[in-house]
Amino acid sequence: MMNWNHFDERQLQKRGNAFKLGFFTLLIENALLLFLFAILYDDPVRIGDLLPFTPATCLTLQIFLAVTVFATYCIWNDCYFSLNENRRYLLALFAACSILNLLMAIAHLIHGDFMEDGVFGTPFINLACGLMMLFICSMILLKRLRQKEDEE
Amino acid sequence: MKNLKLKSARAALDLSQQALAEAVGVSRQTINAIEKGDYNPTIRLCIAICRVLGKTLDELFWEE
Repeated sequence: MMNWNHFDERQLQKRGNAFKLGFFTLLIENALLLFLFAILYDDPVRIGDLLPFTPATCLTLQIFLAVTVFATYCIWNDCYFSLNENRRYLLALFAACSILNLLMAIAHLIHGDFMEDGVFGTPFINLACGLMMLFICSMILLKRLRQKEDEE
Repeated sequence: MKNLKLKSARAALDLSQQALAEAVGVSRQTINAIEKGDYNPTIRLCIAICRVLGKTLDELFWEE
């Protein structure tokens, strides 16, 4: 009797690689940022002088990039979804998240508070999250199209 | 290296990749990867495939 809600051995192996890639992406991003601070500034909290982001935004963007690397690798290696997972539901959920975040970012743009004191804050996180989810959705759809062509 | 023995054994039983995948509890892409030689299955999966196809490990996975 098979358990439908699990990843098979190949998927687990590939997901391991994906986690490794995501981890090293985050590590390299942090190292680069640290390197920049070490070279340019003595005071590491003056992040706004170096990049137009608040520290929280900067940190969140780093995580988003690592998650995007992980998701993209998983999608292209057929290990993003577990066996028999409801892909349509998840795709719809991602699309809804993307649209909501993009709408919030647009609302901030319209109200003119997208930037605070010359740096990007929370509204920018909404934009980045929306774009990330949109990218992941496109990857899933693209992979599905490729898969239909490759069917036996 | 492609595993043509597996592919022909599956075809002989008129099983699709999806049907074999469901019978052994993996994804269709995993069966496809094994047949294409892109993935080396564990002995556990090899045995499961052999059982479903009614073949021995030698018949399906031993390279001459």
